[in-house]
Amino acid sequence: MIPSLTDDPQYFSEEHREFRRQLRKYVENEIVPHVDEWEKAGMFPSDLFKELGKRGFLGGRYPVEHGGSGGDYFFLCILAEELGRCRSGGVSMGVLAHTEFGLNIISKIGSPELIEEIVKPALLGEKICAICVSEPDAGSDVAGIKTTAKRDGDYYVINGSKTFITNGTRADYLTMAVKTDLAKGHHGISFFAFPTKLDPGGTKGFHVSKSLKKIGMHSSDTGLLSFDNCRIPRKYLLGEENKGFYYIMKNFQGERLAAAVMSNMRGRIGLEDTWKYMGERQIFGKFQKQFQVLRHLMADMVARQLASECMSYQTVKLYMNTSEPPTKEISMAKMYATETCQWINDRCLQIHGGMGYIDETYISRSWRDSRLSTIGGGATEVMKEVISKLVMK
Amino acid sequence: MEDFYSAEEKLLREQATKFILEKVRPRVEEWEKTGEMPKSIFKEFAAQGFLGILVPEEYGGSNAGPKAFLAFSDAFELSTSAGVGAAIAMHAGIVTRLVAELASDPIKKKIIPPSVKGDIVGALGLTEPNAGSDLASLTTNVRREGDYYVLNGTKTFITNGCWCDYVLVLCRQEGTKGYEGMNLLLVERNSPGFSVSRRIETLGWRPSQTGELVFENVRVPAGNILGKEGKGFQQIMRALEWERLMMAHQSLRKAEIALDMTMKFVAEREQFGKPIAAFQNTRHVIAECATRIEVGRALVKEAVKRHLAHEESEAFAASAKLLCCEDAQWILDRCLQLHGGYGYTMEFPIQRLWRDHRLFTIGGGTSEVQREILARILDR
Repeated sequence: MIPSLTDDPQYFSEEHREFRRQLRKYVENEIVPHVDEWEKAGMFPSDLFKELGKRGFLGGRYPVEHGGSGGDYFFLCILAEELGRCRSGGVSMGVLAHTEFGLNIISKIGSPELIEEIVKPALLGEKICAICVSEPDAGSDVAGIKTTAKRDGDYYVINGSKTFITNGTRADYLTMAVKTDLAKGHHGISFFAFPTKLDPGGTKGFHVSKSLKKIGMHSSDTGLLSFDNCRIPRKYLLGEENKGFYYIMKNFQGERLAAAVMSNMRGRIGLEDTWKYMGERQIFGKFQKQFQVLRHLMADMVARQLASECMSYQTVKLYMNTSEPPTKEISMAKMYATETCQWINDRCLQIHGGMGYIDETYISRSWRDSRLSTIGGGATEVMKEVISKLVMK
Repeated sequence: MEDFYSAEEKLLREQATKFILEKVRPRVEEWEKTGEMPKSIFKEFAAQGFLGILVPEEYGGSNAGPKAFLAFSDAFELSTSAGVGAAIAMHAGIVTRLVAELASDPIKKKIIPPSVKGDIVGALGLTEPNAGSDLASLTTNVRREGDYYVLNGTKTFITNGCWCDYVLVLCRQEGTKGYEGMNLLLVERNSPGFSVSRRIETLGWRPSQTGELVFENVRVPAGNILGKEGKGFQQIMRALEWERLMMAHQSLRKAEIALDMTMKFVAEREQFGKPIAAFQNTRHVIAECATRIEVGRALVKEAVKRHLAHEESEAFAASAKLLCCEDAQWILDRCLQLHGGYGYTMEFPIQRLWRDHRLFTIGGGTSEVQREILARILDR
């Protein structure tokens, strides 16, 4: 058995554990039986948001006034971990893109009106959200954003395009970074909660240009979106104009931490499944788990897995207990967890041999899904830039 | 990350850092060159109270606890010589502590106070020419004769071996095998039949007096047994786990010190018209090193917490020993690389950290043994 911290009382109270038990049961009974179908369809059904929302799984860590349960960040960790157990990365990613990446900033800086209009129904899964930053020419480098919003009386007019948007083909609201001042680089970015269904048939000028095909994360839809003179009321501006970069720095750290926790679970499940497989598969007259090189490889993976979990959980605790997000530790946790998860899944696929290359084996999907983790949410190379600036003074 | 140490432990680290930088570090180059440091160094450490950190007050210690010892080790790593650290940590971090935990009262009274004062030095005799990580196959033999144990065998790679005043010898009762039937005996240097057969030259750890010890019909008073007869191995299991945790912790500290040195070096050293710190590759290598140190610390913190609370700690301790010692080796190698040609000269301390650290994936249970331990945990 691989030792685990997921019930450790230093992080998880009885309330957390109950939340985990209920969610685990729901995932086993209501999600697992359908994931193969969703993977094939390229999308999980939007009803899943509602089902999770009405059971209170989406709002665990949100304030009660926003329709959440008022819990701490470990509730989000549990959501990321237990959804991961469905063994379809797209499900965890789609749900987290909605409830964490998309909603977090609205909950933090949105007006009371937007909390009512967006956050409350979204935590019930009745509205779907997405985070909308990347563009064809700007990803990790947000200063390069070219989509613009121009003030016109009580409206903003939005032009440009966004890509790689998880939930993008069906989101009701896009938490979107745009330029309100093109000359200012980082300091010309603003955030909007862009409504996609303002007019009957969709906000005028807004189009889903394409649903993008991807290497993995097949149960999650990914959109290429275009904005052609979209007029949206001023109230959808989040916070103040041109402060977007500051909001990113302050509010996107949780996304990275969630990515770390999600990756840890993907690594852990890969290890559990692989160890089980090693006990069933015989080769040269012995079970795979009797071969020393495979045992030692497992040991190396377990050591890194435990290290990554300790790092992520301790960082979550630090994140909860400090006023400024601990950017260095979060960047390290994100980089380490995602790189480790990818390495573990690759080695686990190797241990599966030919079976690992076959679609019906979970590890092949997990391998595909894990490939994104070192790219999305701040690529490893970006994490290294951040870390080196913080450690080399 | 959240504070690992208490305020007292931090104070101790500060005091020790000052002592190491002022009184030890300036002499290290000389000791390393000759391979000799004065044995009186133990008295100097003792005068500061460092040798009694793990010893109860009634025997002259401060009983400040295991985490205090880790804080102290953060300081002694700054000597940049693992030989110094190893000699001190073996004596004060492991041997004296075992005596304090397991010996009879008369032995405690005789051995511990002078150990805490640095008047006598202890060693631990586990490894034999044909039994290292595989302690179950050790053959040093003991038989009872009246009020004595009679000891025969050879122990090798013994830190503090050449100058030890006493050594704890793990030995086998006749007719036993495996992990059963071992005794842990305290053997004093002046016992007839005890000899240091040779000093062993090593790649690193030069001032630590690594030696081979021979026991020929050494008559050890029966009262010198530590703990129970036949349970020698089981009794030191916890001390061995503690040793692993110390090694994991010290590995990261050494890596951190090397990384600090390297960051200074790359800021000053110019190539192609700019400091090599300005090259993206340099910065990314340093980011990777810093990350592995921080992640390792998170693992060690959890492992130490479990060990001290007597919670399930085996997997965490083995993981920490494996990962931190291996990662530190990689980090030290990268740091040497960033020093370029200077890293290969004997003029910069990075070469010594690199050489000294090479033992950490071997001693205290090799990396391979840690992997075996982890795989067996998976079997359960």
